[in-house]
Amino acid sequence: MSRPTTRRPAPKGEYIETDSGNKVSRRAAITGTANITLGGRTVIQSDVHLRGDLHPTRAMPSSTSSSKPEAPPTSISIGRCTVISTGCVIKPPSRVSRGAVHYYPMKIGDNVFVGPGSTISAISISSHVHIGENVVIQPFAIVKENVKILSNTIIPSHMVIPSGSVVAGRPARVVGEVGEGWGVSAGGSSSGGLGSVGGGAGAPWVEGGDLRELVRAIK
Amino acid sequence: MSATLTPAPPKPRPTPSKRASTALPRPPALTVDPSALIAQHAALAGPHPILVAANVVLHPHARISSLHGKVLLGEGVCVAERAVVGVQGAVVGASVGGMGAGGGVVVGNGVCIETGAVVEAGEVGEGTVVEAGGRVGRGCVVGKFCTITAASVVPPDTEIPDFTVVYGMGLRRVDTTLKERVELQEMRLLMHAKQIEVFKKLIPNNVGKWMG
Repeated sequence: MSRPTTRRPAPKGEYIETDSGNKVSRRAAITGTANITLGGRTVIQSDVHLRGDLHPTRAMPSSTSSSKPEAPPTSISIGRCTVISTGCVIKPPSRVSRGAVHYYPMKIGDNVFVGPGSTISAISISSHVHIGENVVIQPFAIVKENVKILSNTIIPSHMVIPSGSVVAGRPARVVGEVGEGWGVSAGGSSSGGLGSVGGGAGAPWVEGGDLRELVRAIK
Repeated sequence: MSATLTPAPPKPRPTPSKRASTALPRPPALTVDPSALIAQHAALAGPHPILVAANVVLHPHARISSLHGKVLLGEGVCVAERAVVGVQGAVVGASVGGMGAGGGVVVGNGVCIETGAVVEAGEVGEGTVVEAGGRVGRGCVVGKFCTITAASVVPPDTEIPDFTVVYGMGLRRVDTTLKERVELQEMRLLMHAKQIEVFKKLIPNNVGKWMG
């Protein structure tokens, strides 16, 4: 027995947990890992495709002057306590600029929930956004804070969704506002806003609220 | 424990179900142009021939299936992750038997098939874009420079004329700007070619696996 017996093999669960508490499924299809940053306590479920290989190729002005070794360009950055559900595809947007195709870094904020089967190419998604199932967000859309995107919505490219709105439809339109109760847990307040319906009565998390409990529950 | 009570020998364990990528046999006649880009997890399978022309880009987890007929990918076709080209599943004899190609798929030059789209059409014309989650049913004939917008469904055996945009819940219109201006069409193909160049720079190529 050459191996010390005190060392137990790591339990082989569905998720690989990183030092900062990110949970990444073993069955997720992630390419270009060097170009992806996860903020911490973020969950990447199975069959999620993260296309980190499609990174910005343009030389950044800061890196050209300095002689220090170049850091890998970031293509996808995801904030804290964000949940990317099964079957999502996260793909940075690309467009033609000065006669050449470039990819642009995309940013997803904190406490964002992305429902199963969604395809995301937005340039930025702010915090406390709830995205339903099978939503398609086309390139360069901007989603501001506290937005609820209903299931099966298609957000056309370059659309800017103002904060606090509820969007739905093909193509997407603003159909309402999230109201006062958005992100406030049902136990804490009894307001009748759309947000309070979130995770159902008694659930430890609500749509647009703090997803820390949800992240903790995923194993 | 007496000998009579010994349990019956354990049943042979069922063979583990095969992965989708290996479930189908490797096509007997797979022709891949050396300039094509086939990413690592892309899969080409099926009993019928598959032809991959020059500068085709198959993203990771793209699937080309020649289960019910041959598949031809024209020059510069892009198939994004999780997109499927080829007729899927069991075929009810009548629906595919009616068309000439017999379940085959011909994808024209410069066609872009986005994330999660399913193309079962008999023919897709040059420069057409099938956006994320679009579905083109079997036996369809899609013209040149069409756009099937995200999550639109084209029912089987539909003919879509050139320059049509399919959007919303099965609505259609004709992109007259693109139709009347040839330079815009050329521009579109040029941009598509540039996009392919970028893909070739960014995506590791695994075409060797499918050659020879």
